[in-house]
Amino acid sequence: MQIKAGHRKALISIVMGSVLLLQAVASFGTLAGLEANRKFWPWTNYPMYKHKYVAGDPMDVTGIIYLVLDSGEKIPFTEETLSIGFWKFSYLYDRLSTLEEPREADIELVLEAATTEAEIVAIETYHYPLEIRKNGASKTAEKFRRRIELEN
Amino acid sequence: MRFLVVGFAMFALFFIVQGYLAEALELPEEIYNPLLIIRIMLAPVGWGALPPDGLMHAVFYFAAFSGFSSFIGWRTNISLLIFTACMILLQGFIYSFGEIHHREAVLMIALLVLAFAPCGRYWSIDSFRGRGFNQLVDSPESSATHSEFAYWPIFVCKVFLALMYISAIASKLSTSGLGWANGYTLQALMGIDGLRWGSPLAIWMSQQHYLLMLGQIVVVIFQSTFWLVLFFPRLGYIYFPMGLAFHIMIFATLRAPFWHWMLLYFLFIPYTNIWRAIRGDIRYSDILSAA
Repeated sequence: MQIKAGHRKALISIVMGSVLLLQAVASFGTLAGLEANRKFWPWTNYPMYKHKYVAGDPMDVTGIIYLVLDSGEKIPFTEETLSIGFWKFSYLYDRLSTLEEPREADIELVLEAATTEAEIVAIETYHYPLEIRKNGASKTAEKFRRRIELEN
Repeated sequence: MRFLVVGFAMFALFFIVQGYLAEALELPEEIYNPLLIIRIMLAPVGWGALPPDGLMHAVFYFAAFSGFSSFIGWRTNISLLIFTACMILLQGFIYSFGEIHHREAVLMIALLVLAFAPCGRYWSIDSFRGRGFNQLVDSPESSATHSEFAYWPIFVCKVFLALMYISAIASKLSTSGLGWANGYTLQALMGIDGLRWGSPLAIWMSQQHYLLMLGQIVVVIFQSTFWLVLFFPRLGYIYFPMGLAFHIMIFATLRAPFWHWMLLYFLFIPYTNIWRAIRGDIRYSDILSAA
């Protein structure tokens, strides 16, 4: 297929120009309220770490999850103890950290991923509120949040 | 640029995307919320419908094949277009199961612009065979090693990186104002991620208020002025080491691996001018500014 030089230049200009234009829209449209990420991806805005914290701000965002065995032993819910990938771990961590009722499919994923031979009878979640101070984040004691009984 | 971008994309395909895809295919169907581009690309299986596992596995193998042929330069541009489409489909599919992360998109863009560049002209099967498979984006009358379009993808990627940083700083300033750089913000982020990901360095850093305040001020200056590199290439001597150090530090502390962004920095390196300086054709001090 032979393309005229002028047409080739026009085609490439349109492609390259569109790439940059879409990025500009995704970047700045979001500031104007456009929900760009899910509509424009792979053109997206980059708002990482944009929220400001000030001294004394509570950060009740850090959860700890344990798998409770029938012996009473508690295994921390981590990528390593579950032998699980980042994506699935992040999904399950977010699901189990909330106070919503877990879906049956979520529980099944946990049980499938658990590497222990022992029976898992429950999932317990805790949280430890943080507060930012000049000398660092002060961590308070773990606080019990909820227990999800598993039916076997 | 072809070896760098396609090589990295192939690495990502086999060592990141493959694992994530396997995980995504095991996640509950209820949480599948396809991105617009995935709805469009997978429209033949139903608008917004979950594609069968076999289809996504087939896309993976298509990506592997087209990525390999792009890398060796066999029907380079059409291979790159297919590779780009497959990578977007795979990565977008994974993101359809959760929140969007910010590192991969730029790789898709780099592949896309590369597909419209005469990148198969040199060190490729196409050039070895002496055949013009790339005439849509390349002139068969051009010389073997030079093209007026060769610099375009590199330039677009540079502008793109500048836009990414402008987007990042605009989000910070519009949400939090200059008060964002108060030290506490980064202390909090270090504390949260340090505890979540078990990073002792992040936890130690979260206790260094004035050091982090200085770091935040540097981030604001860096992100808001990075675009100057496009007009004053010599600033690259300052910005490139800073940028690389910035992303390495983010990885070491917050465990956020922005390798894809760091890849773009390597596109700024004027390899030809470095070679010319080694041969003595130009001065070393002119490496970043010589045409």
